[in-house]
Amino acid sequence: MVEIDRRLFVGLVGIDVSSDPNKYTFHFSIPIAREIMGGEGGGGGGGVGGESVSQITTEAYSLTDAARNLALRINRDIYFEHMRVVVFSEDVARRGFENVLNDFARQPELNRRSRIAICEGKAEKVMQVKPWVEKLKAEYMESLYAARAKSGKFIEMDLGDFFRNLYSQNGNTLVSKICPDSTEVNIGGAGVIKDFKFIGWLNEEETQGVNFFLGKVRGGEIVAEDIGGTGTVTFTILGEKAQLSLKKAEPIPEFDFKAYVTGDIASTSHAVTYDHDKLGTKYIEELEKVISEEIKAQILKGIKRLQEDYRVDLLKLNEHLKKYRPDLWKIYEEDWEDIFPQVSIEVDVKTSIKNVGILR
Amino acid sequence: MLTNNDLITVPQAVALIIMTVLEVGLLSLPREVATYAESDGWILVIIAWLLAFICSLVLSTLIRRFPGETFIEYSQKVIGKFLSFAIGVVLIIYFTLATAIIIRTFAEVTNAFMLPNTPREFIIIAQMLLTIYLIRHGIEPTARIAEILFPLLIVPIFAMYMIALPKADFTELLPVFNTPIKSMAVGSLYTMLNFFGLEILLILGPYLKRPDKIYWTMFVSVGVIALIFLFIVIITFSVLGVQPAKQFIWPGMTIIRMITAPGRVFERLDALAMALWTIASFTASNSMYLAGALTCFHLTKAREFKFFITILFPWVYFLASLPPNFVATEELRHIVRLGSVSVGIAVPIIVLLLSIIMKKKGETA
Repeated sequence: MVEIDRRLFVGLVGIDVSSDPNKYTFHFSIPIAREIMGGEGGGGGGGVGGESVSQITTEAYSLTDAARNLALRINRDIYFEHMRVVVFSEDVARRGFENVLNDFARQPELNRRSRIAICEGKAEKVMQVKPWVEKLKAEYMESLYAARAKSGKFIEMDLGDFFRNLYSQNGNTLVSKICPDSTEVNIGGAGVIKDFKFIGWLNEEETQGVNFFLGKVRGGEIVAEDIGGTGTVTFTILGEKAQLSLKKAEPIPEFDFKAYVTGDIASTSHAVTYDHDKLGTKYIEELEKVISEEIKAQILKGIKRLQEDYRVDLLKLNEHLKKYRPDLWKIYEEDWEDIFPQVSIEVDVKTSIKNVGILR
Repeated sequence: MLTNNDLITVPQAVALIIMTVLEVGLLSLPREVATYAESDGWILVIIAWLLAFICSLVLSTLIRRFPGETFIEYSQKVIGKFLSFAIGVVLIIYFTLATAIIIRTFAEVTNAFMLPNTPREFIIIAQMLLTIYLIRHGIEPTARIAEILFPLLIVPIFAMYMIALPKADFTELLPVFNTPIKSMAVGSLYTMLNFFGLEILLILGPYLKRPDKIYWTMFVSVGVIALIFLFIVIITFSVLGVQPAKQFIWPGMTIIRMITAPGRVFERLDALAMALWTIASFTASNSMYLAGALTCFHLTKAREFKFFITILFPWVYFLASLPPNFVATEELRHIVRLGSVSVGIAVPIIVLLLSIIMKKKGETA
């Protein structure tokens, strides 16, 4: 039994490639309890006055190997039960990461609720971020990923979801992206994983489009050009319901997609002063159309990118076929990778505006 | 020979049977049904339910036919002394092996999720000592413990898995009836093996206070067990997904580690889950161990059964530490389950058929 004061809790794990092709560089960021106490309690802590989070780096073949390496350098036991975010560098993911992932799937002491992300550039950069908002970067990054009600432009998933997608889709999935800056990170966008290998990014709009398609958007905003070209209208998303159905099966499947989006008008270029036109029913109906068009455009962008550039079915069309038309799926299963880019999807979006704020 | 203290009531019998069948193996059930039938796994559970019920009918009919007699006694009448003795020996070996495998699986799960550094031998011996302490007092206290622990196990199991519901995606249960009939048939036979433990009825017979109510007892017990199986399979499939359910060794445990209740009130339920599985495997190994000792007792017609517990102890321990790793445990487990088919289904059916043909019956009590 190891007492809690003899343990070190890893908050962030970063994984980079190393010069040896079989090895990886592991970065662990570990909050130091005495420093955190000192900072917040008003000088109660010891006199070291250092940083509240320290970072350790080691080269190893696997995560467990890395933790064992550290046994030679650190007297305390390293614990992954409270791991918050795992960051893979682009290069590690591009090389194919089923090997390095296996530790995370196999070992029960690795927190399955931690987030997983791929970063642009080196994972080391993410580890070096010093967030100004929060004291602990692990806490900071994790709570960013929890903000699904604020934006639909990132992928919300934890390790458990990630493995679930990966295993049920034969190694294809979308994964969260993380982009480091010196004092902040940006989590917009998504990484595309095909056959356990990272093959490219989706930008924020495309990510939101795909999220719309999967019915996962719970918040965020849509900005569209206002009617009459007088400016822009901002629409806050409250919720979404997606509906996918098979329209035609032969020779190439065709799908019908419907999304029902609800939300509020946050700002518009019309009805600014009292003497202007009021927000009438007709105007609201027109606005709904404008916003629907904008959402539809985003969805189409996402679909196009996945079909044409990446040729990987992350829209879960295969799952739909498998679940609802298993007879058809048997025919298509073999060549799905070639069929998917040719599948046509009719997108139809219906927006309904619930609130317009407190101005008429 | 039997004191009144050694008879168990109907609710006690129900609890004892349910708690014998529910053990840690339940955690791997979703994996097994997913391997055979993918998303049709839950249908396998229903078919297995029917099959298990038919088996329990055979066992119950034997008890009705020979009220108050032990299996050894009435099988002697039907198939002769020698064969009956041989079957008795097989039964003892089977129950010893079953006890060993239940305790061993429990030790494996504990090692994987709770006490990674505790020697497995220690967990095994600790669990066995507790079991011995209880079963030395006889069948009535064992059944009473099962009765007391029953609600303590069932209610939290349902509550715990319910918390996972917000994450559930019930379309994972689609498509329905898409499995070839052959693998469906094989799969449901294998799923039925999960009901192993029902064969303690062979031993339980003379200890029932109301052997006339045995059909009702079995109907309720098998029904409750099957509902729990069904519930866990459906929750695991919809929360974890069918493909991952195939991959994890204990999918039932893995989803507990994935659960986050809204507002993070419950996040790490592992400890609770382990406590529950401790109860489950404790009661299951109690019945199996007791059944083994009682079979020795019936076979030798000794004056009391207590010292057989001591005789079995080293064997249970030896068999429990025999498999070198998880994979070997799983193989041994499979052998035990096949054994459960032969002693729990084949032998009773033969004995029952012969007794009908030869028109042998016990004195009607």
